[in-house]
Amino acid sequence: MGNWYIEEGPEQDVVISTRIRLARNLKGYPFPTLNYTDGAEKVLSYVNSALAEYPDDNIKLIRMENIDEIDKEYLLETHIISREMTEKQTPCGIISGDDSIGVMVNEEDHLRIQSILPGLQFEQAYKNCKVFESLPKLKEKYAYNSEFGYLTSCPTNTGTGIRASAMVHLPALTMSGRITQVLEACGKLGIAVRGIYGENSKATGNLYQISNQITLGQTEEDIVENIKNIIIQICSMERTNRNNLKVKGGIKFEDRLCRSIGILSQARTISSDEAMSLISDLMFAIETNIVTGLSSKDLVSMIINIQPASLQKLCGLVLTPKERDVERAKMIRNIIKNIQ
Amino acid sequence: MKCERCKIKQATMKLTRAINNQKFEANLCEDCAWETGQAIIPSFNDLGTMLSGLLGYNSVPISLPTQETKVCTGCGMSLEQIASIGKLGCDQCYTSFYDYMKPLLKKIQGNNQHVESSPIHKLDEQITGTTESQKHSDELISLKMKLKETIGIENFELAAKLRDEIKRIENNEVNNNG
Repeated sequence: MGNWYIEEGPEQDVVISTRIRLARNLKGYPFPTLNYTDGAEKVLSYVNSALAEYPDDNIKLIRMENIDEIDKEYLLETHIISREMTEKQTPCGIISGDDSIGVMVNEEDHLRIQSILPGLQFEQAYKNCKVFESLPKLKEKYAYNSEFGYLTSCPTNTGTGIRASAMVHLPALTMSGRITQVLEACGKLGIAVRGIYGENSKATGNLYQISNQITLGQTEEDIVENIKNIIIQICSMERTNRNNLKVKGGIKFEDRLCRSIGILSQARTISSDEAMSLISDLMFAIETNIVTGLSSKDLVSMIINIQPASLQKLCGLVLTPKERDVERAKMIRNIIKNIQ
Repeated sequence: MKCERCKIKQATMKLTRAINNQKFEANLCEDCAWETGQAIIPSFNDLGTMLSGLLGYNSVPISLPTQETKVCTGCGMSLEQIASIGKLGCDQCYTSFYDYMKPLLKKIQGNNQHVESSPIHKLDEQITGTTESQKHSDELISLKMKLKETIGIENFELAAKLRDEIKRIENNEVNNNG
């Protein structure tokens, strides 16, 4: 699990990844918000017993306390779990098997069924979630009523409990200032735009997470379709702006991006924040054919691999922040040498 | 006001307890409320504050009303506790505080009627909604589902009202058709 970024995906010059999440609760148990240990244990055990009917035999429930700290951080960096999940004191866990699905049990809701895929793949991600959601033992237990739909811990998820989101790289819209218009338009359409690591996080490296806010009053399919269409629009705007900037910016624009590549190719120590913003320039240069030698998939992998826990997992060592900056610079130099 | 227990932090909760018909009140900070086991409120957050506003609980710090507080039949949370954390305690909070949840969802989501798409629950609805409900099928299905839930949580007072309402709609239909 968490390996979604090693595969290539459609529209990956703009869309890094697609995520669908379904929030579901089981009737008759307190929501995890209340932090009741007994209730949480019962939910874990019930959910575990439902897994037998999942088509993939490798699927299993792993309790959070059995996951070491680096792996937790890695799951956080790859967006499989939330920060809240890593801090939970009451029994909780994750369900994983193949790379198509990851389920948080007892986070804010009893179940947060998620599928993350590379590039723009809303239909497939939705399908993956529905396969898990339809497990018979779970289906008969969902807290649901015909008026309010699926009943969730937070009323912002009530109804379908669906969150459809895409992580997009928008350097040209950001650089040209057009991003403000996009943000305004999204706001009017009930679409939320956030930094890449979820709520309350700022946009690092021109990466934005775009998702639906409204979960009630529309069908799940309509919500997914709407957000997909908006993402396609944003992709098209971003590409037009990339071309415009390249044509109008000329040598100055090229110079600006290539200087960033220069730093990446020579730095001996680099923080993840600085690396993220320079890699954004590198991605921009690759996608506008100013330089060549790396694919969109290589760049997406790099964004994940330079994060603290992923970096330590790759090195197989526990590193101090200073050591990480050195290893990160080394890893980036190694990748950058393929650029022509 | 300082917390009556630690006398250091600001009291943010007024806790009322009735023991042998005598009322005890204490103004506590969040930590002390937790330590004395008097609160099940995990923490305050921005969403909670916003929800308090939407529910009309604008006066922070929150305080329990002196009158009998209505609590959820499922988890025992009061509406004020829900408003303060911005989260519900269990699925039954939706029926226990139906009159508050309906307008709240409208304010947050712009809508308070779920639109079903997957076939998972369609069968249940078909069973509930028989041929006589074609004209008012949506309303009747919703009322019947609510009736089922209300009986489930033993709220017989509301169940009786719902039953009467269902009868009224069904009788109207019979009269109109006849």
